[in-house]
Amino acid sequence: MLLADLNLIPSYDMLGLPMPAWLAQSLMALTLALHWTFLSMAAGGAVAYVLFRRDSPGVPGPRRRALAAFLPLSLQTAMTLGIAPLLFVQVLYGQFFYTANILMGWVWLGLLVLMIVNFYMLYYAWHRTRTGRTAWLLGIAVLAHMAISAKILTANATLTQSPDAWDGFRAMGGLVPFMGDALFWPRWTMALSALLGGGGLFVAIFLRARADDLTDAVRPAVGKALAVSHVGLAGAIAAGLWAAVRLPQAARAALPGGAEAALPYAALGAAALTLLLTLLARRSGSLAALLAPAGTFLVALLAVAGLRDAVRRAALAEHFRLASVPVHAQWSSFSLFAVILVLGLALMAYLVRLGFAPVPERA
Amino acid sequence: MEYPIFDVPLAGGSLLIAGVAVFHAFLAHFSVGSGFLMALAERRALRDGDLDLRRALRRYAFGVLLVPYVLGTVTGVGIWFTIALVSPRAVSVLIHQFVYDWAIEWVFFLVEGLAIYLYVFRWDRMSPMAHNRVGWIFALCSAGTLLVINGILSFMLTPGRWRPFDAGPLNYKALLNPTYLPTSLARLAIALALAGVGGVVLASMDRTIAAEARRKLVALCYKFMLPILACVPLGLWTVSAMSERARTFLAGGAPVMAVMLGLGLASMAILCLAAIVSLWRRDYAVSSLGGVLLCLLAFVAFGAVEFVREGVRKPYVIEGFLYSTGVTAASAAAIDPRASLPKTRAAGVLSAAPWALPPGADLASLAPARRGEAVYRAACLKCHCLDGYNAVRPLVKGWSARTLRDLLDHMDEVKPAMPPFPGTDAEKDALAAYLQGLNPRRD
Repeated sequence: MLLADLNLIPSYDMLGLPMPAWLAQSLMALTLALHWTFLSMAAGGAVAYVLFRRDSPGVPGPRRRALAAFLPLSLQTAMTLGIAPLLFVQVLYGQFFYTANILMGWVWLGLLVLMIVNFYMLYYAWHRTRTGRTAWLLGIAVLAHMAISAKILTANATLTQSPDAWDGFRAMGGLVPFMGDALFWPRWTMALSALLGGGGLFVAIFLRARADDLTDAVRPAVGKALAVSHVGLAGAIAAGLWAAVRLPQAARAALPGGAEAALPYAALGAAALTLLLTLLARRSGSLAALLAPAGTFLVALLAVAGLRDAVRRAALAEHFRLASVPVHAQWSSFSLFAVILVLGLALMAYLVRLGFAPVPERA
Repeated sequence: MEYPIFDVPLAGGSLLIAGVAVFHAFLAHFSVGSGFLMALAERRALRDGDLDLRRALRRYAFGVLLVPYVLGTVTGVGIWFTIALVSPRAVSVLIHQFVYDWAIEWVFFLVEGLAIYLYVFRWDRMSPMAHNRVGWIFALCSAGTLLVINGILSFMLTPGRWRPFDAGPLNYKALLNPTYLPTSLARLAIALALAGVGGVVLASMDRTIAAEARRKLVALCYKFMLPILACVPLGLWTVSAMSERARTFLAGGAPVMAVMLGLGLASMAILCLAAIVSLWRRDYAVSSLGGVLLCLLAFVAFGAVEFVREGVRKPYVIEGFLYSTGVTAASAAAIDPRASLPKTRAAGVLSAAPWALPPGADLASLAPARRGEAVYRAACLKCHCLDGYNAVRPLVKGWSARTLRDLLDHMDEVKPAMPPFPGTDAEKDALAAYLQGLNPRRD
């Protein structure tokens, strides 16, 4: 039977949109990009456990321990930042998102278990590093967990935008992830590759920033981390092109025009520029040369986040248009949120000042 | 109602939510209280120059602050996931009404995350006063998250003057609802008490802490347990602001609710009494058994009160607006295009619940024998498994078709915790036949 006959798509929430769609889409893309950034850091740190198993002149003990201590924070921050795009996707596409969640229910709940296990492994790895032991096996395990989590999230995202597959997929009883969409494998590959691309870059920046000078000992370590980044970025670009080829014709035709039409080129361009800059940074080795690709990487993530939403809207165009949803904007609440956000960021800056201010010597 | 049905065999969706929610809420409240306890204890240690106490606090920081915070965050996401699986319509309404309030809570999370990292990992690399300031910031942001989320939770129980599209500036009609203030204060008191209990047990079991430092810390922890007594007047205030139906539950209309409330209040009273007696006698030693009992009492008190809070809301998820079945009340008929009670009673509950039908089937072609099962899945499965917790099979054993049919006609009158049947007379007939068939008669 046709999807329309079965009437399986729930109606949009009766309260309408609490903000203009463009605002929710912008905030969703921004917070998603930040979420991916910190996830990359956590992934990079896990890779570092494998690359730098023991103290070396390039990566001495204090530096290994500092990196290990930073990783749980990066995963925690990634998780907190990930709450925001989850919030906005429910505001915009809740009826599709919840349906996909339920159809993959047990797998979706498995994400929570993975999160807890990942945290435990990162803290245990930090403890082992602190006490002078290796933790490379834990690093591999963390990467494996992140790959599985990415698989579940990618499967959920593709199921969200594939309502035609819902009726057939329900027989799975929520026990398997949805991998039946043409975009699943390229999207998952792109996610994993981007994690490595950003992660390797982060580790290189971390090591270089903590070294007073680019000594003969530090250069190979930075080079190793950048090699991981090169592979990751190249893989992400290839996967992005793969996804573009596999995008169904109907969705391709429904892609938005205007400024959003530039998103694929912006994403590809920024990713390619990031790869080029990391190759150059490997030769130069300066911190500034490493920070430049970090900036373009963030731009690439922003463009991909925006493109992701555009593809979703194109895939759902046959069933749903955001423009048809009435907007009942809560501007006073938005204003309060904006004020608290600014105050919160200021408070975070103050906390950093408190936390890293030089401690006065006791007389 | 319009969504696929997430079937949790033997336990049911509500038990799944309860399991995650109680675990999370316990951790979250403990985390909030511990933030204040650590900050205040550290402040006193600095004031008195007590290095032993400060060293002990440093040892506790990882387990008492960081671990509950991380687990609390993950399980908080877990609640979100589970309720969206079981009651997606309710979550959708709450998200669309409170998106900015959740966003504000998210800002508090961001600040908390940085603060806790600095507090635990840079303990000796900051000046002590700066470190203590970080602790206070963490504690206040934690309390902020509690106050925001309680606005949403209390709204579900007493929406007050909120109406769709009329929540007032800053959502004040929804957030500042009749039970917001008493429940917020009660939650803060509970948070402090849970931290106090945990601190007493921890300090008492720690053999390495200096005697004087232990005495100071345990005395402070007992003082943290005292505000729990305020839960009695605050509870009475909350009850007075509830609906008449909810008050009837607690007055004996729902025996389980009344028993749980009594259990919760008794546990709180015992905890408070233990604190008062220990402070009065200056007895700061607690045996292992005593510690276990304190923790058990705290968990029982907390779990019982949360059980009551969830239970008195029945049959609604959002009082007066959305039933636990996912059907909206008659007041929402104008804005709910598909699944308000008048609509489902006129067109049938299955017209709004296509996912209750077998895969590939549609209403027109559904065999009569399968219709009853579909109605059960649409209108009952969310709260009543076939077998297991709150199961329907043993509930209707021995009932005649006539009794079942009469019950469906007057369900909400006979059992106020049940929603009115949301379907047509033909659907009632089909459901009654299906339910009777669950317990085959032995000839």
